[in-house]
Amino acid sequence: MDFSLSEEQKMFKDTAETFMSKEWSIELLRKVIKDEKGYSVDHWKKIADLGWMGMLIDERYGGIGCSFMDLCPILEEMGRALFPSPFLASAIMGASILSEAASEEMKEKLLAPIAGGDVVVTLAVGETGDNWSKDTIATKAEKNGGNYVLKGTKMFVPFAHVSDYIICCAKDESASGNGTTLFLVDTRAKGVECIPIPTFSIDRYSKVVFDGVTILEENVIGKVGSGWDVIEKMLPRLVVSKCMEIVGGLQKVLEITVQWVKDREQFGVPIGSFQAIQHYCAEMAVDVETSKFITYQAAWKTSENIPCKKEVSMAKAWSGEAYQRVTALALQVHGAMGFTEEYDLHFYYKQAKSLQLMYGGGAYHRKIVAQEMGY
Amino acid sequence: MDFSFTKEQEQFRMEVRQFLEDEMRSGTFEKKSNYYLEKSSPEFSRKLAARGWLGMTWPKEYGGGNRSYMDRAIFMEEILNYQPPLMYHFFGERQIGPALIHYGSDEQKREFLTKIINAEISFCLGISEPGAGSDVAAISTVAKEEGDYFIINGQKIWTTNAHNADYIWLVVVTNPGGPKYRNMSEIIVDLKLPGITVRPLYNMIGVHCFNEVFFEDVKVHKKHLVGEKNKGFHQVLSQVDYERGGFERLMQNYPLYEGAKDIIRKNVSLKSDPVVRDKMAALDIELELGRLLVYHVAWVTDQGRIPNREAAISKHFCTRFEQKLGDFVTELLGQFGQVMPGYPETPLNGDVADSYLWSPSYTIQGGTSEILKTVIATRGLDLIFTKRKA
Ligand SMILES: Cc1cc2nc3c(=O)[nH]c(=O)nc-3n(C[C@H](O)[C@H](O)[C@H](O)COP(=O)(O)OP(=O)(O)OC[C@H]3O[C@@H](n4cnc5c(N)ncnc54)[C@H](O)[C@@H]3O)c2cc1C
Ligand SMILES: Cc1cc2nc3c(=O)[nH]c(=O)nc-3n(C[C@H](O)[C@H](O)[C@H](O)COP(=O)(O)OP(=O)(O)OC[C@H]3O[C@@H](n4cnc5c(N)ncnc54)[C@H](O)[C@@H]3O)c2cc1C
Repeated sequence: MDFSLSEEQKMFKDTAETFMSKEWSIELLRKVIKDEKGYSVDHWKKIADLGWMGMLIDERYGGIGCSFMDLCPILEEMGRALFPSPFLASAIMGASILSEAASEEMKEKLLAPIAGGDVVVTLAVGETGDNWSKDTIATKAEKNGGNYVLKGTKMFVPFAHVSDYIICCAKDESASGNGTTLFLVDTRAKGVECIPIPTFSIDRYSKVVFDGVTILEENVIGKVGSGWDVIEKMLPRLVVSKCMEIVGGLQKVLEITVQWVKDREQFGVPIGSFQAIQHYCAEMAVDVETSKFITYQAAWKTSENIPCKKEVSMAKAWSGEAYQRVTALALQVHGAMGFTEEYDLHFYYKQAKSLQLMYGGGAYHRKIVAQEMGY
Repeated sequence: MDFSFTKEQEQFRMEVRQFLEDEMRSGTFEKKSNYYLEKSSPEFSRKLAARGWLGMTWPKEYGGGNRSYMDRAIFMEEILNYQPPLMYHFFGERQIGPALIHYGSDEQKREFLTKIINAEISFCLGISEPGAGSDVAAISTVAKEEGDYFIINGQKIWTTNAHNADYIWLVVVTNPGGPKYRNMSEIIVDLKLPGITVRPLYNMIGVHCFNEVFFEDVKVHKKHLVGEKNKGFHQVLSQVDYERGGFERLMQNYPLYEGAKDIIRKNVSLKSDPVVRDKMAALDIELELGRLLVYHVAWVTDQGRIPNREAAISKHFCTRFEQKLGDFVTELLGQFGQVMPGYPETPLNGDVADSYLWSPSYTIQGGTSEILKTVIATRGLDLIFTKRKA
């Protein structure tokens, strides 16, 4: 066992840390979340120039072909800095699914622009606002000659409103296999509508309506009828990515809180000298440490292609709830100041809940753990 | 980053497991929660010694294996799965040997290290007193100097294994009235010396594990003083970091965990109960987190750092898991959750009730959870001890 980052991973982490502290700030976040786009195009270009968007893309297609683990320290820094962008949707899920399943033509057309940040792709799976499952997919693709007609509504599609393409998982009754197929949908196509959902997350989500959208056969991704298989195969990356953001956020919240209780004086002393406060902080540290290790383990196994359905669910179940607990305690020890718009902590409290709900909360992932235990 | 073990480590794990399987089958011991510390067997300890499994991390010059703490953690994880009797060598091997290697005189090293590693002598730890539990610096057992000797008077309490041990590792006041934290020393005392009385204390399970130890004008040669005089408090502090972070804090009742998994697997109504499934999955997650924390402590130690904050986090988290486990399994068994060992119809042979009664001690012994949280906050997060401004 080795709990340390490789030299290369340390370098990625340093770069990300420097970028976030020099280029990004909560002040910028405040601007961006009021903006229609919900992310900074300027910073998007900068991180594309740093090569981050091509990390999971093969060199043949204009990427740099790193391991998933190499990317994790960067995700951690994004979570720590609260950096909203379609990065997960496009550079992780989009890039991973297309690399895994798309035709050679599609890869050539899309992967290099994704790596360059010129094209943004997102993924539309869930429809119920609940956890993803094959059975809740009602969006239908009907064969019409050589083409398909897509009809249905997807919920909570990340950054759909700024995406160029949506990878949509739809029910395909003509198909054998598991009856679901992935389609590449141009967001400018007739019949596609993105309606923003007003959440308290720093990330933007939309309801996407496909009202009889015509899809050419060449825009089928992978084998007809294998949609869900691809999603399932790539899901660990997505879930672990969220966990990495959580781990970054957790560390930052602990730091903010420790600094606050050292500085804030009541009764003539720093409140950090009160044992009640110290013990809250200690519990926070326990949550931070445990979330880190279980997430790193899941990330490492995902990266090494070691089967890890259970470990990934363990990581999400634990770190999601831990982030919620830690931000709630952080608010408690901040007193009324934490409850204000002006102080930064509320962004973390909001993001913690949002990340906990995304791709399954504790109860959902514990169900998977129980199944994996053989129950 | 790497969350796998080396091939050699996997082989070593299997070797230990095979040995334990064989020993258990031949009836050397019974797999039962808390037995590793309830039971003491010089013969079994010597079998481990013969395989080079005691003092694994000690340097070669003292007969040790010069192996990593990671290897020792693997060994402990396997052995606690089986709970054979370990008490005979446990304290000596875990912390007294390492403390002697660090602070002991050459003569002390020669006298004790080989015997500990060969399981020829047994130690107990004499720190706590009636007036000094969490507050170790409040001890009042005094060692007064008289020529080449110390004359010891006072009382220790909760001394596990004193009734079987040959020596007590004693913390005493050597500078009465001197500054707090700079008035204590560590000294090795032969329990056969005149003036020592060991009186059993029974715990709430009715088991005799710990004792009171009384000292009345006990005369001990000064060569048995370990390290520097009056620096004992700081020596104790650095030793507890090594004592806190091991698998024994996570797996003292591990057989219960395996038992519970099995009970659920075989019982359709439990198996399909969403609450049971959720709770068991939650325990499984916490067990995995505990494992990672313990291995992390071992890894930190192998990096040459003292696992202070890490060990405190680990013990606090892991013992809480053990308590949740004990509580959950009693509920799983319904009314049978309170039946003591020996009654034939009880699942898991009464291990559950027994373990449930043991479990309050987990968060007390070796530093209470409150003390650990204060360690995490003050030493880990650099928050200050409560102090009012003048
Ligand atoms: C929604 C809202 C409305 C409010 N409305 C009003 C109002 O109308 N009028 C008004 O006057 N005030 C109002 N308040 C202020 C409120 O009374 C204070 O927020 C509260 O007394 C706590 O003080 P503080 O925020 O300064 O936190 P602090 O006193 O700084 O406390 C911070 C943390 O330290 C802990 N702490 C402090 N001292 C100790 C100690 N000795 N031991 C252990 N822990 C300690 C606290 O429990 C808390 O967790 C309002 C607050 C809120 C959130
Ligand atoms: C099974 C078992 C085996 C043991 N074996 C040994 C042994 O072999 N050798 C040995 O020397 N000792 C041994 N002990 C003793 C053990 O080290 C002490 O019980 C422990 O240090 C706590 O001391 P105490 O019991 O006096 O409780 P106290 O220190 O009186 O604590 C009582 C409560 O007050 C809390 N408390 C105390 N101080 C603080 C503080 N500053 N802030 C907040 N809360 C505080 C504690 O957390 C606890 O909840 C053993 C104990 C048990 C249960």
